[in-house]
Amino acid sequence: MKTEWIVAERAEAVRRAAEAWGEAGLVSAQDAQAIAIRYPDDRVRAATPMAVLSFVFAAVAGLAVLVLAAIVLESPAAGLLVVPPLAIAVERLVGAGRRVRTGVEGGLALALVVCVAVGAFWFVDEALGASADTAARSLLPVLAVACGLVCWRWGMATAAAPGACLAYLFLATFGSGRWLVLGTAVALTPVLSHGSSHARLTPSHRRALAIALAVSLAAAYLAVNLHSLDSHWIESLAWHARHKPEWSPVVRLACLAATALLPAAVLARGVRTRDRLLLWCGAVMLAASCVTVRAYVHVAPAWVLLVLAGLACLAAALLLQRWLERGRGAERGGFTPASLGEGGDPHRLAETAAVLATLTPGAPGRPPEGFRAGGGEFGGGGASGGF
Amino acid sequence: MGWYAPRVQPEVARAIAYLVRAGVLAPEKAAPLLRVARGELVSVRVELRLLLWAGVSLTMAGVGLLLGQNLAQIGPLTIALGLGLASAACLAWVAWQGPPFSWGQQPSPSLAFDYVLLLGVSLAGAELAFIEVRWAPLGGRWPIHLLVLSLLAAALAVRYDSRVLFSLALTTFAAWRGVTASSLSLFAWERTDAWVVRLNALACGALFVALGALLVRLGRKPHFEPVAAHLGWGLLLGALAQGALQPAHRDATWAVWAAEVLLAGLGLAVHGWRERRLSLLAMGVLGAYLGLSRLAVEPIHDDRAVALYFVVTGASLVAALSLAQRRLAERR
Repeated sequence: MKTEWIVAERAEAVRRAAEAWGEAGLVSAQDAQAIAIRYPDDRVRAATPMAVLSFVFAAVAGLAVLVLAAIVLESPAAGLLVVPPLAIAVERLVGAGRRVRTGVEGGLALALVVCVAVGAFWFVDEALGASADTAARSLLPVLAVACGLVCWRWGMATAAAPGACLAYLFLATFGSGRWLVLGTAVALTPVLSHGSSHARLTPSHRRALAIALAVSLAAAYLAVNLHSLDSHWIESLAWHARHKPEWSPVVRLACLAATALLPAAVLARGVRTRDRLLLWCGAVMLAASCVTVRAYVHVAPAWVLLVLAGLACLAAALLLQRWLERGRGAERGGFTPASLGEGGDPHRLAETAAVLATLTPGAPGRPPEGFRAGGGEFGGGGASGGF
Repeated sequence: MGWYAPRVQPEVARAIAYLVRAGVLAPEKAAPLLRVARGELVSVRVELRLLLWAGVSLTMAGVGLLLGQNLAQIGPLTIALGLGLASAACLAWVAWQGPPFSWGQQPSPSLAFDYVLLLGVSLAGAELAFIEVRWAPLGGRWPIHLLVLSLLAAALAVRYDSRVLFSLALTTFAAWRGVTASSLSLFAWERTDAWVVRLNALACGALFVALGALLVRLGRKPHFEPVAAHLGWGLLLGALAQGALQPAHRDATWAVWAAEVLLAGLGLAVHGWRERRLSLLAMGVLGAYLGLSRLAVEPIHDDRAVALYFVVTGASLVAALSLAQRRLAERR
């Protein structure tokens, strides 16, 4: 990233923080305004709906250029030809155009990554004469590197998610993929954790490392989860020798312990370092471990477990809120239930979407004939799914 | 990742020190901000809300399974009574905690308030559905229980000022008319009742948009209008888009639907632009582009021309959106 881009990113981080403080009432609107004036914005930005639209249409145009070139040249090699102009376009938009999150540069970057994939596949498959399997496999690291470059050069942190996923997927294609995935994740986790809060890195790079950290933790958990081990999930991704090894009791015991301990360790670390990302990862792992236990031990009927889990979540939220609020200054251990300005409109929108997706009843399809499991026609207030 | 505050924000911590030196921030105000920027004070408000939502969703999933699979073991009367009591308990707590009624916006009395209300209404819905399926008091008009639930949810949403519950009331109303996300999916045109669902979706969409406008005009819960308008326009455009995207050989009316989605999208885009409602503008532009593309691409049988069409229109729209964004920035 160029120095001026970094300066602009850091200034934006301050403006956003001031905006959040203003929303949470930590500073007055005048103070927030004064801070915004001290850290002016020299970039071209777009409101979220416009950015989404621009992203869609830029991606459509970029991908259509690829298709057009492939038709004209009658070869997927066109992908490689389209890469340089697209890269130059994105570089100019972010550089001379001073565009940040306007959607256009993101859409073109997406088209660029697809062009790299098409071109790389053609190069390995036709130019090098390798098999289609090998060509497809070679795409994984190429795409992971392409996503990494997009992250590093243009500060598009969200590209870290597909990049990290593709890198771990590539490792899983090897014969001993499970241990490669685990080893890499364990080795990278402290580095990524350190980097995600390193002062010398830009905010977008720190976000990208935080995303990669979440993917690494997920990969590590998947590698040690007992059900994943017994079902050979990772081994089924291996490219050639798709054998299903018999695990020794020691390995199973170690994975059993890890299935139980890893979520607890991640949660404990999240609480100790007040890292919300680790708290989320730990909570998701804990839920996955509970589901894993259910797969091996019939504790109780599914409906009992679901209702108990639901009530436990409700109770935990209420008790935790009350406990934190009763702390000195309405906080305990650096955690507070009060708003510090995070959330806002995107959060409210996501909340409404989640409620509608899970609780809207199904449409009536045919007259009632009594309850049938797995139906879905009857229901109200979200009970439709299980009827 | 706007909703995810990074653990530490070194540049913000540096800025706070500078702002104190520059006299922009008072030192006593800066102290808590510095703790936030250094990751020494973290809000878990979003996590608590997420936990509450998970609690309601899991509980309702469990209730769904209970009703579907354990009717014989537990007995219908016990289930009906249990659901009724649970729902009544939730709604009684809400009534006890609830703020006095107002037609304006009211802050939620607590973090859990909206979710307990949601759970109470969801349990009431499950109870209604169960009674209807078990004893069929409404006979052939059994889907009316969805209308009853929708009206109950709407009434409680207005009383307790819950936008989430209001949106659930609207989607339940649409479900009563057979309109859901799956029935409006682009691949649902194969359904024999696709026409009926589409017309119902159009009617529901128009009704929701009109309801939103009425709320604003009367000054009664005007902050509910965005929910009604977005759901309404979503249903209208979704229904028209589904008609426009059905295969030409299957239904010759596709062109009419495509023209309608083009016109409706254009109309919405113009309305969104005039009112500075960018989300509606975005919905309108997407709808109009879909209709235009369907009409333009269908008669073209040359792949190059089709690709060229998407290059030209995609680039033109990007340029137009950039221009629109610049205009908006200038007016601000």
